[in-house]
Amino acid sequence: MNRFSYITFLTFTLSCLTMSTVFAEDCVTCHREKTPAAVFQWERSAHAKAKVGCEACHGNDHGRIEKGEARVDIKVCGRCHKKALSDHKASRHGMGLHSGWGCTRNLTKRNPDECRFCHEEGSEVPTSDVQCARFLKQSSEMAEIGCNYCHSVEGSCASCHTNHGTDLKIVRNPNICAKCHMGPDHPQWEMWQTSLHGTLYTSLGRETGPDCQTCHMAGGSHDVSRGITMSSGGQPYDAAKKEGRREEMVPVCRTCHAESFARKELARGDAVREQSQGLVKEAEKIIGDLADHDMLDPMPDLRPPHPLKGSQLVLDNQMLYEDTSHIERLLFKMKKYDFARAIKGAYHQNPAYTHWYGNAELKLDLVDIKSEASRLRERKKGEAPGPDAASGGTVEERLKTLKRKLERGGLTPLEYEQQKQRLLE
Amino acid sequence: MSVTVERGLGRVLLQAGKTTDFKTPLTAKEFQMLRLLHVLNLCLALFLSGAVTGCAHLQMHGMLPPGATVAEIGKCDVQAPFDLDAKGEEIAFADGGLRIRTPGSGRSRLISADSPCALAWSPDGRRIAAAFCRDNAGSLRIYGVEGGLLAEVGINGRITGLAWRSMTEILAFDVRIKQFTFGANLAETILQWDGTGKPKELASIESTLRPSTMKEWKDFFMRSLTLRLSPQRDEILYASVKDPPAFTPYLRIVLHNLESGKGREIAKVSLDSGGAVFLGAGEAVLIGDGNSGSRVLDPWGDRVLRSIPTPGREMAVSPGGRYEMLDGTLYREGVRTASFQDSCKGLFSGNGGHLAMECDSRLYMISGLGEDLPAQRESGEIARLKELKKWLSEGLITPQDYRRSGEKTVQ
Repeated sequence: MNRFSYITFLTFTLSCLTMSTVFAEDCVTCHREKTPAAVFQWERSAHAKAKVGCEACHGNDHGRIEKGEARVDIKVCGRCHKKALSDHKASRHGMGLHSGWGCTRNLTKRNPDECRFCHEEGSEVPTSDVQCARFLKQSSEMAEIGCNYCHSVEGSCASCHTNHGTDLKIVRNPNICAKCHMGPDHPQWEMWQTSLHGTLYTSLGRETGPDCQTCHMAGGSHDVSRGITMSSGGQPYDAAKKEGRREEMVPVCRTCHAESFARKELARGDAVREQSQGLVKEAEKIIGDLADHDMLDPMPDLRPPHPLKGSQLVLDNQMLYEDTSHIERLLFKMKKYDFARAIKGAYHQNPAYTHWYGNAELKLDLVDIKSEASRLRERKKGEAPGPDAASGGTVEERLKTLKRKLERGGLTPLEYEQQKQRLLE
Repeated sequence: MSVTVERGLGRVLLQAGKTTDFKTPLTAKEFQMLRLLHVLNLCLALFLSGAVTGCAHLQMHGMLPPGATVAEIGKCDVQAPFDLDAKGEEIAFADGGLRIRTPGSGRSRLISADSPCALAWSPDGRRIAAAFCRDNAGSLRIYGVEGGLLAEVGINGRITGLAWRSMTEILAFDVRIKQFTFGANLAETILQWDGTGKPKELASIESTLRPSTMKEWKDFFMRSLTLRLSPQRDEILYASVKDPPAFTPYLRIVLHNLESGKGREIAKVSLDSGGAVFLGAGEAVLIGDGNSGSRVLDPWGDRVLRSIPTPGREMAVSPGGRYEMLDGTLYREGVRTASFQDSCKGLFSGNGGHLAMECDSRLYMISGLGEDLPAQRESGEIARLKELKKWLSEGLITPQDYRRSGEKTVQ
């Protein structure tokens, strides 16, 4: 290499190293006035110390930035933070957007851009096997604040880390988790806060009392689903997967507890989950029987079609809280709120949530559901009888009953076929 | 009489049933002579067909079925609707207004000065339903056979097809297009009207179309997307447009049960398909794919019963199933008899004896066809079959259950 080339190479390398700060300085001049908080946070961040300037994440096309096209998503952060990205993708946070995104294909005023969250252009096949149906018919404002502020965790590190700060104090504060993990459907933050773990944390600090991150992000992992043995809806994983997950959690507990104690406590949580699930199943069976006999008000085929199941009765995790019957609304509360509180309360060692907000409410829900079922049955009895009322309704009604029973697993295909042929005879 | 030259074989067909085989290729002189002979023969055939039929405008090749005759009725509006009454005695059509003509007596009367976009005789032939279209709005009217206006209602959209579901109820296929910057919204709606109040909406299908699709196909959609009623008047066939972003647009052929309100896609075909028509008692469906072949389908078993090498852009089937008019060609029991222009649109009378045709804005009537109509079923049998078909459409029974129970009912 001759002298000239050497100087050129050196100049180029130094330019590259300093370019980001130079560009950052350019941005900061104006943005100190326009977005002072962003500049303030960045100047105190690890990024600033490492000379990672504005353009490293936002690019240097100011036109795109102004149009909102240069937002920093997880792919941008993942260019440097590769391990965090792969952990995150393996976790439940990594599919937060898919599972929560409102499927809008049956809505008249849908935004065509929304299709891309689940479909490649021109394809009707979803790119993710996670179903999406929960947040139907939300206004765009409600969808943004009420849904995406949490579910955007899939694609945005800023969802927890905030936009320009990198201080780990922010993400080690359980309040950052509480943004989403609180409230009626999964109040993990409240459960933890009022448990012994939370009290120790508040009184003596995180060295003595574990917080969310201690157990769910042990060793700094971004796979927050490590050690969890059930789906987000409380369905236990199959034995092999469950065992593997349990073996991930026990060492975390062993940091403070004896292994036998940890295993016993987690097994108690499993038992509470199974018992609670039994109560929910009982309620589901009551509603399934009512639907079989055309007693729901309104029946699913008289409502707007479910985006995934059409006119079928949906009682699983994709059940909706709108356009539904009163008895299904009771089940929704039982399942989404009280079941979740009972089982998550148990795993978070919170007696009040496990019992009073969970178990007691589940049993009261069942009372309400049974009472509503009686009312619907009485009402059906009062209706004008069909031509074949003596044998349980018209042939068509009985065919429908059989089909509904088959669909919800109340009949085997063979039993269904035999009973159908008897009716057709 | 016809002459054809099949070069590859060196074979000349001079007369029907009489052929001469050449073992060696034709010389240039022989070939020129044959070409001259061919042209002379074609002229003779055209002259004779004109002389026999008295139709100066109708081009016909082949022979009509024995006993059948063709007569010109007169001119009509371009791509105008027309309909024959059940007996084939009267034809309603558009010609600078809505007219009814009785071919037997030559009597003709103007019913309305407005030209209709869809027409349908009532089953008893005493009333006629007519739709009048103006862009995305129009009206639906019922007239008495002598022209008295019996009922009228305003319609949003363009009615492309009409059918009488019963003696009092009309089904209408309403097509509406709403243009946007990114393309258009096409809404196809099935309406039912009993002559009083507003029509009832039975079903509606909407699709988003790209600008390129709209540019090329808009007129076709506004004219050709229509419905066909089953002989039992309990089901309809219609085509709905699908225009996926990265694929070729196509038509979905839907079989819709009017009793249950449930529809089911039975085929996908290209946009220039003539859709589908019911065959015989409605147990089979003839579908035109718009390209190379039409097929007769068992709509529930998804079985292809027969294939016909014609695109199926214009299709009509006689009630007894003996005759088919496909893309200008008349078939009798599956055998080609006479061919007219490809664009000729046909329509059989309810008794199967007459075929009305519109070719290049002129109407013709072929009479004396005759066929055995399907045996009339008892009302109890019809009711049971309709009930089974309703259950089939709702997924309560399988096609096998339907066939088994249907056979028992008919026995």
